Amino acid sequence: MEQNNSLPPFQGLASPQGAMTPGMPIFSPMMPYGSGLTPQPVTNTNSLSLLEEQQRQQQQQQQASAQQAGVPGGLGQTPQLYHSQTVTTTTLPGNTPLYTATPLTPMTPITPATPASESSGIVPQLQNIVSTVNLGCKLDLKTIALRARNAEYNPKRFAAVIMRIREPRTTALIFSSGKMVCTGAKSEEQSRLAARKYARVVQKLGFPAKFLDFKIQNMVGSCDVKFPIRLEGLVLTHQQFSSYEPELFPGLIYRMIKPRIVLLIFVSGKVVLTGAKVRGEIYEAFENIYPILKGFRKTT
Amino acid sequence: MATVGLKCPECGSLDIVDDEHYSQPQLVCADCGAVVSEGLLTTTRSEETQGTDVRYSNSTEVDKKPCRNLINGIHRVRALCRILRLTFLMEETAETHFKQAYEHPNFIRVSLQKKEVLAGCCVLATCRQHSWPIAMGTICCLLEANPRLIGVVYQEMVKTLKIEAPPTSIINLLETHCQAYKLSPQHVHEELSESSKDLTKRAAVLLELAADAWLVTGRQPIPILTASIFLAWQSLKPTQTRLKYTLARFCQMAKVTKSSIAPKRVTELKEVLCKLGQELPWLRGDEVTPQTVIQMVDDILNHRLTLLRRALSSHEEALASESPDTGSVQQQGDHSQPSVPNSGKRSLFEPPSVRYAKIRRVQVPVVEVTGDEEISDSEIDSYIRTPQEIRDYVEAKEALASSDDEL
Repeated sequence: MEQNNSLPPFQGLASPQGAMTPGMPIFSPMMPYGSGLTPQPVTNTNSLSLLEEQQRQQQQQQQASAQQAGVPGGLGQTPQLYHSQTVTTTTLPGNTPLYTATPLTPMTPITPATPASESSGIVPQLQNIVSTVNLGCKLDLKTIALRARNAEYNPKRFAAVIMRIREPRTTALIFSSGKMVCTGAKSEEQSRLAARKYARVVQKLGFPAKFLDFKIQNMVGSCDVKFPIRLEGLVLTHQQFSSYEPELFPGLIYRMIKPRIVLLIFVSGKVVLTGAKVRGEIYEAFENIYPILKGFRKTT
Repeated sequence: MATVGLKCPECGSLDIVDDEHYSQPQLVCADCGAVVSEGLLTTTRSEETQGTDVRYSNSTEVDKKPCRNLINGIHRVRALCRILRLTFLMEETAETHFKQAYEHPNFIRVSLQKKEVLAGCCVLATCRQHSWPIAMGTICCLLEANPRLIGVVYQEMVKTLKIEAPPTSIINLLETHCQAYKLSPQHVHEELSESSKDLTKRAAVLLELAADAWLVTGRQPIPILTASIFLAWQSLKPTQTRLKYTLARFCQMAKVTKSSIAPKRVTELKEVLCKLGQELPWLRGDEVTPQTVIQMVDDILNHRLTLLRRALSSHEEALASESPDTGSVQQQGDHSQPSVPNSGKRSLFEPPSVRYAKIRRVQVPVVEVTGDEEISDSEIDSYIRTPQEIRDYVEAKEALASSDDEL
């Protein structure tokens, strides 16, 4: 096998034809699981006890029969002896066929019988809310920057006044069209209160500001599942939703379809959820991902 | 009338018209037919393309001939495939991807720089689809482009073309990475040389160990590959000469670029090996330091499963002795279903980001608000400048501006 005649800065050049077979596959979750559509938790073969082996074999048998029927298994299938019922005809693994979420309250499971549908017990904390409001009148940014203490305005850098208040600790971008963006609040109500305070400041500066079309645009939450996660395994079994490029970013980017949330999953077990318009979407997304993550946990 | 005031020199009439004689523009008198003036017979290429009434992009020639950047891009794709010695099928696939992506509305109007990077990204995607191990860093070097830009373009391309390109596993990358190291007898001294096959085999085992110990997930692959190859090379023949070599010197010898992160990975990997080496029964409890562990790597790797089990059980015992009331429950936890670990109990191997967790800023307790409370005037007034302040501010600004002018 002749050496590649490569330029010095290359790393990892492709080998000439014929030398493509890898040495030994360390992450081999492909073997027992078929289509990859069903979010199956994966167990590593290194430290399996006899009991776990039995459970895994039973699970494989059940999957084989389920796949023949062409119906995806229930979501929360941790290595259990029973097979959770397939309720709906949804094919997307991002769905929870067992839960229905009400918009503003955290979900409660409907069928508490099987341990697979138990709620995780972890509640994501909201970290940031971005909201917009229309003050309904044209504003003179130079006057605002001159007469307000907490404002900065640098027209060469950005065409808006950046204003901050102490309580709730938030930042607002105020544009000359009268539109305003408020960021940094930790809850929806705080965001609304902060936006009202900014509007009041603008009013006191002499503009006929109103408070129209207040809308929450984005909510960011985070939480910790308290165990390390095998990201390489997760990206192989949930390829359609995940993107894991360790050369670019250390976390795995999981784009859940229902609800439409983007999750950043890190090896330490910390999860960041973003893209929600209501609080319930964040809770729902976390309840969807938790059983999947539990499957990729490995205790060494 | 071509221009006002132009008179025919022959007959004096003012009726001069623009009349082209084939491709030569001429000003001709409409009454007597005398040529008043004429333009150049030939035109330059830029005049032809830019001086026309119809823009090139709106003309039909656009459909007949592919644009120059597309042709350049296809040449670049082909060149990359030849450099990487990909198969003919892969070359064709890469070209197809590039054509599709280039003509997609998402990419037709991007900057030239991005179009260049797009060629590399198509090659990368094709390699991944055919399980040909290649790192993004290689494409980076070949294109000499910013890795971030490559990442952005790659992700957008995959989304646009809706192709499924599973990422390469690190163990496959190892083999190709190993071949870049020039360690055969013809390149280096006999004592320092090592065959690529042995090196790959030993490095693969080390890499698997590193992966089990959470040193690989979430991190750049190339430094850990370098680290495992270095340790493999040292441990295959742990003579004093080899042990004296630092990572930097090793990379220089093997003609590989050195990285600043690889030494840290070497330290981490040695720590893991020390933990396992501690369990070797014939050491009888002697300390295993990172300096002495290299000689034992052979034994450690041969018996790593046993050593792992012993290390786990001794770790459990150590924890149990620290907390005697919960000890008995956890000691049996070794073989049964893994119980939920509390934050106090630490497992033997943890991802470094967990072990050396950043100290978080103290969370301010969330105050419950309804969003519709009364806003006090005094609070709002505290955000507004007094007239005196405004005057002071304006004066200060003028003073600064005038002093700047003087400078």
